[in-house]
Amino acid sequence: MGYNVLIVDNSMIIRKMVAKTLSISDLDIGEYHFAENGKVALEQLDANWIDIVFADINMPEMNGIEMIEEMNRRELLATTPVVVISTERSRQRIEALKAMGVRAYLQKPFVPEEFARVVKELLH
Amino acid sequence: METEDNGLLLQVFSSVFEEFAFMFVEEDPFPEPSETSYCPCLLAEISFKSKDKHGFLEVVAPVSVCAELAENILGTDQQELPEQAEEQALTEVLNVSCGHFLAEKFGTEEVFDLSIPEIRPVSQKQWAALIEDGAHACMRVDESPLLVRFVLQQ
Repeated sequence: MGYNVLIVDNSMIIRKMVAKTLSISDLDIGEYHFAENGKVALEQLDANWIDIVFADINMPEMNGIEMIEEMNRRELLATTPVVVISTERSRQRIEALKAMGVRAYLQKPFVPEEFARVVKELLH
Repeated sequence: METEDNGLLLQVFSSVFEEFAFMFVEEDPFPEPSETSYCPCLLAEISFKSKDKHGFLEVVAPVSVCAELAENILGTDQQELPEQAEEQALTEVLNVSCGHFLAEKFGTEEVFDLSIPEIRPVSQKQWAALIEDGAHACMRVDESPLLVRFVLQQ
């Protein structure tokens, strides 16, 4: 059975790009779930079994940091691995994300090979 | 906009276009108004703020360039592009470019919050005004113009 993934980004282009990168990697992906902000992502997490979350930071309504804070407050979601894919370059903010339990951080635009390597390390 | 910013903007936009969509951006002398014909364009803008700085970055690009961006990012044909793919491709390129530009200009110690980018079409009259005021850095992607403006309001 493949890994179920949730891709959270307000940009449809990035959601499709991440999904495509996963689909051409040799990772065993089960279901793809999508959300355009943190609020919708939490609804998806409540409704589906998700093995890994890919999330942007800068999103309307509920941003990625607020979403991760809420995941950390919920026992069932606190251990779900989150990979942040963002334009963020601030050293202070990247360290804060890691302190919140973010498992990996990738800068946009990411290289597909690097993306696949990071995800494999997390899932295997 | 400081002259030195133009060089950095060119460097950042070249890198982002190439990495995202394998498209190549070159510097272009600012066109004379008489030399520039109008084509349907989109203007995208993103604002930023830190503890003591705020401002915005904007980019103007022909719709045809935005469509090519979307096609290359998604690896799909124009006929298969989802609705609003052109707009989303340009705003995403602007979003990424803004993050890169701020880090290159101010370093990675400063924390910036970015807005959600906004996008709107540019009319023929607005296009003529943009060319006339000369406030933008002018670049060329393939054979099409790309106008970029960085404004810091301290």
